[in-house]
Amino acid sequence: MIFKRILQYSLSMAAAGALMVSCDKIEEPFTEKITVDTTIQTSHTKRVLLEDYTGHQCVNCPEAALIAHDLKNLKGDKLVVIAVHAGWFAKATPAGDFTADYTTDAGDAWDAFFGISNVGNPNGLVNRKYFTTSEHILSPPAWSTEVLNVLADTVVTVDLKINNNYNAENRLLNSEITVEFVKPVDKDLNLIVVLTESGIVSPQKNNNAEVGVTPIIYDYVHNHMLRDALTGTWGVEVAKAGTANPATLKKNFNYTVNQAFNADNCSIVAFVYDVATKEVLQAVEKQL
Amino acid sequence: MRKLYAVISILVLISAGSLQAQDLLQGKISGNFQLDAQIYKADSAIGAEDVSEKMLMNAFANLLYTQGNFNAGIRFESYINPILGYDKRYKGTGVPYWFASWEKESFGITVGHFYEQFGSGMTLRSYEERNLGYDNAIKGARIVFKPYQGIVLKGLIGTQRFFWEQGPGMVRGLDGEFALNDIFNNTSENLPRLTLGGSFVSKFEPEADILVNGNEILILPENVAAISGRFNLNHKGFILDGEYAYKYNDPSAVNNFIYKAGASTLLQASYSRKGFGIILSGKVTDNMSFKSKRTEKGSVLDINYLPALTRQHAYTLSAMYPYATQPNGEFALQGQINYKLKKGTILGGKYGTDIALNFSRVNSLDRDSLDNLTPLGKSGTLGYKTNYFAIGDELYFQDFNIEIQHKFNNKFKALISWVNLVYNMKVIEAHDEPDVKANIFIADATYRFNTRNALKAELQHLSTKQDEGNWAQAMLEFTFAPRWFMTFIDQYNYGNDDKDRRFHYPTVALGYTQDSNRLSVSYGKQREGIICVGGVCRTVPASNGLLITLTSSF
Repeated sequence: MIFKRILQYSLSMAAAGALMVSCDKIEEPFTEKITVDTTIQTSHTKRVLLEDYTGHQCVNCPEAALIAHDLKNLKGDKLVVIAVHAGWFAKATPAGDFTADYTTDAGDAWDAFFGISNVGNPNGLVNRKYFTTSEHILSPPAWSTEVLNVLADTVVTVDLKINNNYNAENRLLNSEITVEFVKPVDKDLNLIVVLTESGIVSPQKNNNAEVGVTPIIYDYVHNHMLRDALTGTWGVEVAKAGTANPATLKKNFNYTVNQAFNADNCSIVAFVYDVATKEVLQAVEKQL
Repeated sequence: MRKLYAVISILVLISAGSLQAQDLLQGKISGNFQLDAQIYKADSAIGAEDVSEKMLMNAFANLLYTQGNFNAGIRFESYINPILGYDKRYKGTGVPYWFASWEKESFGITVGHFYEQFGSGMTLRSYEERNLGYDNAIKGARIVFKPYQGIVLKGLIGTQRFFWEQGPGMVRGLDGEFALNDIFNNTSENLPRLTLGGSFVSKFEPEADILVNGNEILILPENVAAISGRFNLNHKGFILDGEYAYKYNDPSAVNNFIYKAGASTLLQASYSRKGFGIILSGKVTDNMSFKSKRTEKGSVLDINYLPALTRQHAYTLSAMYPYATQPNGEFALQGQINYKLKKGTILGGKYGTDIALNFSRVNSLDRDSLDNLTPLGKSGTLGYKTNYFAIGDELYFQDFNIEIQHKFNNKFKALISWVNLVYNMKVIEAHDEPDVKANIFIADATYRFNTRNALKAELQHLSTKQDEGNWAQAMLEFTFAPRWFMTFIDQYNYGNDDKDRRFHYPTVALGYTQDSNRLSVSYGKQREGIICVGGVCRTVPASNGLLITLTSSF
């Protein structure tokens, strides 16, 4: 009698368990190759902004930068990357290998506002999505899903174009940003314009031997580094809720490029975002 | 606010449905409250930065209603803004935890949030550790069914807490425990007691496009299961228990997206009789991180728990280099002997002397690459092969410690302790720095002047050539029972290689207790620390300021 009952309970439990476990066993190959995205939209190409919050003393950051680099290789101009050096691991030391200061006022302000280095580095934002929840901070392995997800929706409501005029002699740059309202937008929108620089060779801590030498890569190449914000931290207004949008709007910025920056490796990055949700609607990048 | 209304209306509905109005009034309400507020002052020497809010606060209150077999409770939490060192994502105020539960005959039902553990926790454990800011409560429903004496079956389903939201993964679990002696109604003391158990846990998380190896997207399992079996054999002071857990393919950020199955084995044997106890335990863990969000590496959303087989030290300097279980793989052994020297002997004295010896050692697993072409642990592969019958070469942690306690007379008792440890910085903290080899000595004495007043003095010393070098700490604590206590502590990093960083970290604390209310105020400095979990590091900044703690319960 007892045996029968135990058997019954055990069997029913095992059956319920088997049903519930419903485990997906994946067989090799575990991956699918994806090819470089060469599709071109006839007009108004959707682009996505990836911000990699990093620091030269962050040992896991080269690994994250590699993910951003791989995504950029695959998505080309559709992906705009900014490497924001901010937080404790980005600090410059008074002496030693990490005396360079790559922090910026805008980067520090964004890092504090989005709470990224408080959570840890490396981490990032994709189009600054989900700011209204605690899920806006994305770990590097989560970047690809969100980048592909944003690009899958090809609808563009606001488009951006950059026209740079740079004089190498006096280092004066005029950057003209054209904001095109493809569809009417009844929201407060701001435009942020920043300068980024690639190809900066400077020491970086690293603990992943697959990515480079450990513990310090002395000739590490820092790319997409945020250098300055031409519009200030939170940008300039381009649309106001309750006000009709023009078809296009042009914003001009005059800027002197710092002597310390290599202008040949500098780019202007512009992005437009919803002031209420902080979500980026479109981004664009153009070399000087 | 909407959440709070929802909670109240659910509690009222549930109460009304299962209880008569007059019964409801006969229930018992209890609760507790804690508030920690810290006022900060910048101190550039130790690196304590200016806190723009000047004051930060964490507070919580639990309210519990009990009426017969019915329980309901809520927990209010407020972090405005979180105290330094806590995850900033806690910022806010709300009711993140509420539940109602009742038992009727052989069924127990819980709805809302709950904590649960299956066996040793290797397949499922949800718990709260407030001091670490950790809470992975499950929100959903749980059924406990006791169909027959000695049989407990549990089933649950839910999602896990992620700060003020829920994680993306769904967790489902079943557990059964069978106490054979009770089932067969044979509880004779001469018979060994045997309990068997088993559990199934499965998580569901929607597919995602995770890029690895430059141009490959992972084919991901949406459902991942873990199973386990356990036993406990108990006879006249001997206990032998163990658990084996197995997890199906679960590529995640923690294991670098490999498809190898995970496994963990825990075995423990102990014997105790009056004045003597011995415990031996061993654990092999391989690729057993189990989270309800696959891209998460931090200490959030864990479904299971892998206990560290090392002693948790209570004294500050002994606890300066604590071990953290490495879920990707480790081989751990621990042994402990407790012995009491008899009363009336030379060494035992009038009250006897307690001696505790403890040793633990954790090494890496012995791993091989899959083949000559695939690097160890490459994403999108089976990762590596494990040789379970060999111990890996890399030492993660080792701790040998001895503690002797003696009571000299009614007024005076003392404790001395020595800890010798080796701490692998690279593995535990992800800092590429040499292993810390440290010796720690503790002396602790308490003198009771009378039944009310006592003085406790503590001296601690840590010596190491690595990291920040030697530390010394002295503490004096006066207790004027039952109301007051006062503590003076100074921690001094006198052995720091960098002479400019040989700081003192003094603290003065004053406490007042009145029934179940306790207020303490302390002023002092705290050193900077770095916490790394799964490759994500954050700093716990140095601080200087006033900390006020109030606890109260009713």
